[in-house]
Amino acid sequence: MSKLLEMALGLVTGIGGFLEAGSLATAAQAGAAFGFQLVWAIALGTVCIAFLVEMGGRLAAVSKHTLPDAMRERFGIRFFTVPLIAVVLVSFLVLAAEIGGVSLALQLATGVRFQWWAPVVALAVWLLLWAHNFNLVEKGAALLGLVTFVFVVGAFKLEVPLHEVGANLLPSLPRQDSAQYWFMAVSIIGASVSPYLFYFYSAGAIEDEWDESYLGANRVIAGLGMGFGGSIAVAVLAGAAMVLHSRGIQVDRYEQMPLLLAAPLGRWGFILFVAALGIACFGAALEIALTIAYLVAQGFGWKWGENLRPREAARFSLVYTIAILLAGLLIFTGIDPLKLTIFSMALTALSLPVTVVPLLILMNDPEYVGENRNHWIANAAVFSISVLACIVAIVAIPLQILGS
Amino acid sequence: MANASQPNGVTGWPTRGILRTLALIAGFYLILQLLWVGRPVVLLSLLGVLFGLALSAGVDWLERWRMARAVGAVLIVPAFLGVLVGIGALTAPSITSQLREFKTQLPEAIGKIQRWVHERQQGVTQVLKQVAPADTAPADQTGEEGKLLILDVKAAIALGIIAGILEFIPIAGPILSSVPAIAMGFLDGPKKAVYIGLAYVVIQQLEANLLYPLIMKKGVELPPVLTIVAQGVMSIVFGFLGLLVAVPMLAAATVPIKMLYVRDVVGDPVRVPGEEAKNVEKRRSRADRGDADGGTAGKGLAVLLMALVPVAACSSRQQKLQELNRTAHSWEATARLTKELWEKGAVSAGYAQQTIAATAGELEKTRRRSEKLSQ
Repeated sequence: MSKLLEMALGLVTGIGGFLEAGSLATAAQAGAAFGFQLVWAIALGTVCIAFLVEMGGRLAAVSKHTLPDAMRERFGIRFFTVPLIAVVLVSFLVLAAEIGGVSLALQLATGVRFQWWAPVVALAVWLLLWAHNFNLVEKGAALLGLVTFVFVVGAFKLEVPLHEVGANLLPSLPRQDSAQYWFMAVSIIGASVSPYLFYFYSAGAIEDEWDESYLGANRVIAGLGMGFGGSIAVAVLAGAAMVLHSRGIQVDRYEQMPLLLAAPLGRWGFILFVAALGIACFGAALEIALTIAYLVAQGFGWKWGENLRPREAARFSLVYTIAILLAGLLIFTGIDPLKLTIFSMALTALSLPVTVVPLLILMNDPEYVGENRNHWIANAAVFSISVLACIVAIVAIPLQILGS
Repeated sequence: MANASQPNGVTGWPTRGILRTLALIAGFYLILQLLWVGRPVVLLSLLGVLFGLALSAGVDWLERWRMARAVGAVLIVPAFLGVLVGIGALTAPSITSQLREFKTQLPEAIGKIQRWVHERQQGVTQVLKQVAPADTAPADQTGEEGKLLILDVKAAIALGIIAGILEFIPIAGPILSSVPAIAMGFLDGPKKAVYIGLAYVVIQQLEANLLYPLIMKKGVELPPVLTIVAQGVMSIVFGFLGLLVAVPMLAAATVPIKMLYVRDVVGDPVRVPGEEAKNVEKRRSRADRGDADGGTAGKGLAVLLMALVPVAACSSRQQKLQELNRTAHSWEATARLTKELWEKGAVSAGYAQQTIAATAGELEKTRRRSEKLSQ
């Protein structure tokens, strides 16, 4: 019974955790700019993250190793520093983007500029972690995160043509703006396949003391949780295509995004958009700050744990404190949160091989996962999506930055 | 006679030796004939070898991480082709349109130069003297022109491709490649043509003294005369593709000559790049090797990015104006929709104010950018 409850909570966390500043912004921008054409990128990213989350959980349940711990042990500290730096750097930018997302939600609600909200949001995130209330907050944020289902309601209200969505599940070549199209595609994949998702999930499995009896539940949580999360992202894209693309509105700033729910659902649509943005980003900010601390602490063998008092895991607490402080400062400088979000998502896609390939090697090593090694389909799917996303990112990022 | 010993004790050529020499000459001739007949296949094989050599670095790297060579090769080849196809797909439309633009505008540019020179009926020195006073423009204008030099050269991608192709011709190639670029610059005025000429000199110097030594640090030092001869022969035998592969083929051919003849027969110490790298690698720890490869990969990435920079920077003024139009239209539509929703009570007055303020700010930015572009 308790396992069922955990599975349900895991599912809710998966759904609520999938949609955050990155997936929301990239899906809305893609829908506004290219209509339904980029549905395939969300589908591809969702498949990839479902596999990766399942692998992270399986590694923890079978080997009793967290991902960074196993990587350091298997490849040595020299090699480990490469994915460590890549994930910490990318996660830091995503953390700043999430703090920016919450700040913008507060700006939309109050009219006070987002920069002024950034220190407040950073302080709130830090206080919750410092007071070691994370378990309660995580579950609360995940439950509240279900508000993101409003995007699905909005899409139904708009009578989204499902055949268009289905037809665009297959990749197609851009009709115009190739550089922007591919840049958007990699940003969407980067937003879906954020490394913090599977690193965090793997650490959670260790903290909850998973064993091999959890493998089935792990599969369900990863598959259904990420699948539902991906569906919400598709609903955001479809809403943007119906409301914004049809009117020639492209999403250049967060201020334009509430329109995609306000148009079909009226005042409640606007309120729920602000709530969804704020809650989803706040939950993600908590998770990312912890992931950065997990990574560094687990990698260097320090004491770690979300429920440990700061004095019991001083270095662990120091890492998330510094990360939150710097991320808050970055938003306080007035950097455009939407641009930061999109750029950090594209960088995430660029770093995918570095973060994903070591996990694949671990998941094929009998010393770690015994008989529960990866099926070749999982290897092929994750490897090809990550490498493809990285290649497209190498080409598209400079073209996007320098071309326009 | 041939077998007879000479009175002074010097032995003459034995019949077997003469026959062997004749057989060698005949064999060599037959091989050359065969190569001539099958030269497309030979060229293809040479290209295949070069391609394989280039990709083997990546396979070696993967092998160090315990990936079988066969699997590594299977992964590297599609990844490499993916990059090529990706770049091709992204840049093909711009390249096609720019080549068309180049084709139509070059005769006009040449005509303009002829008219300009004819009007003055003076030597090149005087022409340059006349251009010089124009350079004493106010500092801000000069800076603007400098930026335009990089961003707004007409048919820049096409000119880049021409420069890339002519780069294969040593010494004269870079000079030749600057001619059409300077001619295109004349379309916007002589001052711009001078700037383009200066940019070519600067880029050429940077390439020769900075980029080339950096990339070729571990490469083979090839005598210039040998390079020119090899390029000449290869282009005569195999055409343009032969010209492309002449330098790497020459570099590959010098390695066995250095190892088997200069070092083993003559006894002189020689530096062989691959072997040297291998020896150095043996002394390095596994992680250090990772660093070295990281450096090579970094250089590769830097070169790729440098190649992308001009392509990316060359989106034409018209495209940029279209983009600005789209942005302006988007914000206008945003304001209209916000107003509509506010009137229905679907959004708060505060939100409507924020969005209208954002619209005003963005439209002002767009106006400024489009003015700057129109100048």
